[in-house]
Amino acid sequence: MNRGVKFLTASVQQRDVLGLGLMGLLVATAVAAVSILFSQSMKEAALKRFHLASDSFPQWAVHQMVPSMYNFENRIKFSNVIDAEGKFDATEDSYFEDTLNHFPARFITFGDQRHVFSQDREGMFEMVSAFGDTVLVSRWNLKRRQPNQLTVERVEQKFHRRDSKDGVRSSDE
Amino acid sequence: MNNSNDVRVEEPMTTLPDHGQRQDALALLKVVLVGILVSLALKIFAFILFDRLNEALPIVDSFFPIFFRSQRVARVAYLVACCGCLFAIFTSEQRHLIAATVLLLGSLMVLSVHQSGFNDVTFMSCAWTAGWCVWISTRLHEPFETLFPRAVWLSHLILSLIFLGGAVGKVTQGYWSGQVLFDIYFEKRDFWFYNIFRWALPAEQLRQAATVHSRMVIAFEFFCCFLWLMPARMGSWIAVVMLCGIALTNNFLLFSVVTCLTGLALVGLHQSKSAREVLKST
Repeated sequence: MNRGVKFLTASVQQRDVLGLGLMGLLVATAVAAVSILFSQSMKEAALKRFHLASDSFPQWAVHQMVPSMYNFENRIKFSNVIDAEGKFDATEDSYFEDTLNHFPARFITFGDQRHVFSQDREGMFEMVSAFGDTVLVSRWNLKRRQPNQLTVERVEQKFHRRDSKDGVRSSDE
Repeated sequence: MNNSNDVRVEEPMTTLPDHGQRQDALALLKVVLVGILVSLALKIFAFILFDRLNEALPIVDSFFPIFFRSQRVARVAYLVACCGCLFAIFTSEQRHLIAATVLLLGSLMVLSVHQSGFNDVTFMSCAWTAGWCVWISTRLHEPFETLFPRAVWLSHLILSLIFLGGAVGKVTQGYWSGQVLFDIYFEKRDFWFYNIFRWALPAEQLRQAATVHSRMVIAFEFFCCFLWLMPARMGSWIAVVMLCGIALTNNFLLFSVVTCLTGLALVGLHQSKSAREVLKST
């Protein structure tokens, strides 16, 4: 704390507005980071951020300042086809699932994975991110509207509660 | 001429730093800039590959405004970040440094919210580091004895925030049980650290090792949230060891994320006549 007090005192003496501003920004970002432990709405906002599902792009962009390396439990699924009940068929050739460290949406937006599953075909992509008792499930329909373009259609976004044994209990949204 | 009615306004210290002190301040900045440049350079092959892929099969997601979907924007931002950083390393003129670091920060912020770069923590960690660079670029006129402790503390505050963001998001059963790290690393990752675990331990013990490792990661990250409270040199050493340890034991590609942060941590280890005098007096 002593170094922090000295920083504040010296910054005021030096009239270092930028230094004080940067410190304020860091403290505000730290509060935003910690708030997911106590605030359900911040928790949900953080999960939505991971699924590119924030209420608006500017809100998401501001949220991007909060460091989030290896956050949450993130799983993805993809298959070219799903059954009539909307379930994935794990025996289907194109089906795969994986665990990701953060930003599960990157499986579509980043890297060369899209070439693996987008050869002449469309498919369903599912992201599941969990933090504490809150789980967010999002589904994207991926379509090739043009031969060289992959279009994302958001078809589902649901919050669930899970109990301590990882069971999904109820749907909130 | 003062009387009792005069309002005393505390003036900022007007003593200008001598040449040696300014060189010390510049040295701090240059070390951090080199860290950012190395981080960005380590990304270059991945960036080129993904640039070609995004060009060949673009993703159209209406969540991102067209500007932040454009591969040209990503390309320009990456180039501007690299050039701005390189220029800042070789210039000593304060005005140029401020302009170059602001450019660097701006382009890194664009990459951090761009469709093809948002998930890459390299750009986010470089952006926070660049924020520190902008700040110190504006303070080169300040005496080193007041600037140095503040520069070190601010660097520790940034590093603490990075660790805090990582630690808080792991306070969930998947990390506490070790399942997430087991799935990502222990079970299948072909990397020396995890290969040793798989070679040395049977399946059941491997799962237990993942639990212990995961809890240690959470504990160390929370410990590093308090770098800003630690003595300056100790905080810097801990940060350097932790950051390098993360990349050495998990994935060498993570050096793109941690090198800029390591540069920031090195600020507190700066050794010069001026720095030693400042540390003695504090």
